[in-house]
Amino acid sequence: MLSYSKPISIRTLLLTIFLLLMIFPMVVITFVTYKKENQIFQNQVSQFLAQTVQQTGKALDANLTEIDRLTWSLLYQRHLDFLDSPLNTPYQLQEANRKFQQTVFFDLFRGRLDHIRAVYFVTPDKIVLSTDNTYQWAKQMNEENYRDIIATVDNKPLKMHWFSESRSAFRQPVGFETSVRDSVVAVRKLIDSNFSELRGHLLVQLNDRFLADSLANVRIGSTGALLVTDSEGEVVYRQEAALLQNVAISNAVKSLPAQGSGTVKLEGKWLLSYATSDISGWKMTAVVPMDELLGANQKILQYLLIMAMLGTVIFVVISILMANAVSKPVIQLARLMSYTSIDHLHVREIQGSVHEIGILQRNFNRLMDRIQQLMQENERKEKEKREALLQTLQMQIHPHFLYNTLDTIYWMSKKHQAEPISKLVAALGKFFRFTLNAGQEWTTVEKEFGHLENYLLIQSFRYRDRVRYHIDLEPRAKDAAVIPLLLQPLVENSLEHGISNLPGGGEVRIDARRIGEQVVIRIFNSGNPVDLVRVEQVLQGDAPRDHVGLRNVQNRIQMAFGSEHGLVVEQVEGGTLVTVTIPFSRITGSENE
Amino acid sequence: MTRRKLTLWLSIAFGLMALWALGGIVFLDRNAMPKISDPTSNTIKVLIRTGTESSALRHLLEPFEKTTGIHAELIEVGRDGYFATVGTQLLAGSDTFDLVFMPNTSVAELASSGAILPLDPFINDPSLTDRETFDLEDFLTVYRYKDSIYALPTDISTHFIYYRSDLIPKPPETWEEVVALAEKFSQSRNPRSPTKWGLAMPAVVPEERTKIFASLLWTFGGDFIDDKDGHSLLGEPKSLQAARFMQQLLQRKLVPNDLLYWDFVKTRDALLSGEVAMAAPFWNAAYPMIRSDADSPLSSKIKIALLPGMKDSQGEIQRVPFQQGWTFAINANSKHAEWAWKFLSYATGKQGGELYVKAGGVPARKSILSDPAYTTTRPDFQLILESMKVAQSEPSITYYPSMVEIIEKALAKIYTLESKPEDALKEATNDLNRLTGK
Repeated sequence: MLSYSKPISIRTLLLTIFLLLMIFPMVVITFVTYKKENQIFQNQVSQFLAQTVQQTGKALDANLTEIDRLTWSLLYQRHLDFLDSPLNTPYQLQEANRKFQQTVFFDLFRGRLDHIRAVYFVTPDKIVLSTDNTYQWAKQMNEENYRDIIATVDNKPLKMHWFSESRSAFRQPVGFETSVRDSVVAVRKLIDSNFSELRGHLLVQLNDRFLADSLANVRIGSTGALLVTDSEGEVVYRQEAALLQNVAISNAVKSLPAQGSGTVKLEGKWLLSYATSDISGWKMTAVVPMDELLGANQKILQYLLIMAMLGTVIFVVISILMANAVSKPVIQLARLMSYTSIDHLHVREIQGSVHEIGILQRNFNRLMDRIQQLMQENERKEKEKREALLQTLQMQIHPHFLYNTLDTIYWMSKKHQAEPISKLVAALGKFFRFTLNAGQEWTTVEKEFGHLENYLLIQSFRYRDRVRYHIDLEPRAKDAAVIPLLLQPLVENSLEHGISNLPGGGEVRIDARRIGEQVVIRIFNSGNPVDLVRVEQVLQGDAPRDHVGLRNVQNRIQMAFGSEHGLVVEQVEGGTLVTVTIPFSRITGSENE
Repeated sequence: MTRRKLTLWLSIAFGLMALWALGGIVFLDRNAMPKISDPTSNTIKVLIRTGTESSALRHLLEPFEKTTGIHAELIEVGRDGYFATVGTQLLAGSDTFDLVFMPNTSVAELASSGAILPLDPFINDPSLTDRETFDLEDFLTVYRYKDSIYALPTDISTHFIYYRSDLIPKPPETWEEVVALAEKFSQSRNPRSPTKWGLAMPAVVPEERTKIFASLLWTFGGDFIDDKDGHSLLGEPKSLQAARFMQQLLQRKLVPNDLLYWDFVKTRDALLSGEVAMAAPFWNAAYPMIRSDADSPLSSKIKIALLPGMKDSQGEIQRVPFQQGWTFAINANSKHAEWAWKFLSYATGKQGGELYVKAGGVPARKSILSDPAYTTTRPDFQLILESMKVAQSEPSITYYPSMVEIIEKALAKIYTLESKPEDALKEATNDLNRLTGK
């Protein structure tokens, strides 16, 4: 479960920041670039399309103008020799036709014959002269179209007029399989400039190559197409393209304004750019699918996205590297500090590439060094203090006997056959041996009990058999480690405060048992019960200085075995029982030395 | 992390970013915009006249492109202005086409002016032509100018008589027989005739009037010019006899009175519609079209025979039908002359010839015309070969167009009954001699 209160790791933080700083600008730049480019692209394509249409329109107009100008030689002060003779006989007609053909082929359209299907001249009497040798009669004309043509021409009699193929007055029979088709018709009225009399109408029937040569190779994108329509929406020329078969486009083209130029979007799918010719009145329309217009941009977007994805992968890798580079020393430092703060003060050698983190590491190392130094110092001081205290205690306990004197006494008693004295001196000797060697920190319960026995033996001489003692050591407890001379003050107290006041003497019982992981040592003395209040005062340190023995024992137990250990003094039937409880442990080699 | 390691990581990071950036630039540069190929990069253009030949040759374009990888495009020009277009564009140095389709009669005029290339360098270049496969000897004829080949024929033309076999069981052998049959099948002479006209033939300009008349002229023993010195022979009696024969046909209304407006198509359609009983002299090229016409019930009844002749003093029938070859020549200003030669050699070669036959053409190769495989499907081939044995070509002269114009004008007068044949031909003789300086 996500916890918002949980602190974020520095690596996550850095990684997030790096990724955010790298990927966010990249996404924004990609998006903005795409949108902006899309907009610019559309504008440019629209402009380009409009320019293409206008340029193509101009080229077409130039083409139409050229055809027009080729007829200008017939307009002013020009003798039309094909109309010289009467046209009454077949030969006159034939001859006029021949001259007309010569005029057309060699004077007018010599350089454009590959674009001309046929040229007709219709006199006011509807006699037809033609380059088409099979076409000589007005009755072969489409009368209705011819009337329409003449009516249109008469509106502007000085200009050449252009008509779509469907409005042609002449149609050639299809004699051969051919790819050449009739196309537009140019019509000009010819008037005798001297007398302003109508000479006839010149009709130039052009073939489909006339328009195709200049328009077929015009590329409107890769799937766009060009369409030329007349003022009534009739198709004059269309490029071979499935696009132009679309009814919506056809209707849209028909609905475009009759004049002028412009660019419109159709149903959001196509872009139409149109321009109307002043010369022919034809409207040139370029249609291009929006998909195609934006296709290149879509492709660019795809590439941008691919680049962005690749970039993201690279940025993630770089971010991880960078985040690692920055965070690793910090994390290492943090781990080290956590580890150190638990229970270790060992300082690791850390080398970081980040200067500030290096300083932190060095300072932390110094800090750790200092703490360790202080702790060692403190430990040393504590040890010294404890040893001094121990020595003081031992010094308070030690009686001042001279060992050599005892030895002399021993031998003298032997010599004089004073057996009790020799026993006493022997015991006293053992007593001092143990006591003088008590500088050792630890001894065994068995040795401590041996020492107590010597002590009691000596004291039994003192008390002239008024002291009876009994020592019982359980074998499982004899190896237990114990501080030397720990128990002697307790036995001493038993004698001094218990038995010495009894006229008939008393009894001292000492035993040791191992119970679980603890060793329980009990010292019982018969006699008057001990004053427990006073004992408590002694243990608390409130008693006078001459009763320091019991408290020393208590302090020594707690210093050696911890505060949870110690001694218990209690009144029991017939006497006083002191119980010492210490943990069972064996003396290691170094402790025994 | 050590400073060295950090530097290494940073280097790798910058390297990756630089690689990414450069890769993006190259990637976008290469793929952002679609490449637009130029479809005209390996295209040759062939200027050709609308007709049976162009429709047949159209079938060669795709196989040629598959074979050579060269796209060939036909520029078709109508028959009326074709010669003016060819002559004008070639002499203007136009390079809008690479190959030109033309009759053999244009070879001298265009070769002399340097408008077309001699073909010998292409033929003799082993890298361009395998002489053995190409087999120059297999052509019915090749067209030379000053000992150099300038054009090779892809189509051969001659004149036959076409007749309605249901009306005329046996084709006429002589022109006298033709006249007799025409009398019988012309409604002007025989109102019960099933056909309106007994005889018809093309007579339009620019090419058919003179060429059709040539068969009659030569059969009657006449000629246009003397091959040796070039002076006109139109005024000679035998030439006059031919002209008189034609005028009589018109005067007796055995042929349509508007014959000057009859062309190949109209004559062919008149046969198919039953308007005429015979067509002669008429082009051999019409036969495959008539046979394949599924709309006319008469198509199978229209048959062909050798053009009628005249009996000589020994009673032998002398026939002198017209023959010409439609050829390909290479524009001297072509930018792709070698590609043009490839198309030329393909179209006139055996492989192209086979395809040309399937499309209804008449190849100018003896091996194909005499191939027994075509005996049934193309019976006209044997007749063509037979006709070619006695057929005659028009003179190969540089002033051929001018000569033809003079003759056309004379024939117009004769055919429209405007002038007597002797007057018309006398004027033509004078004009011809003036033209040639004789």
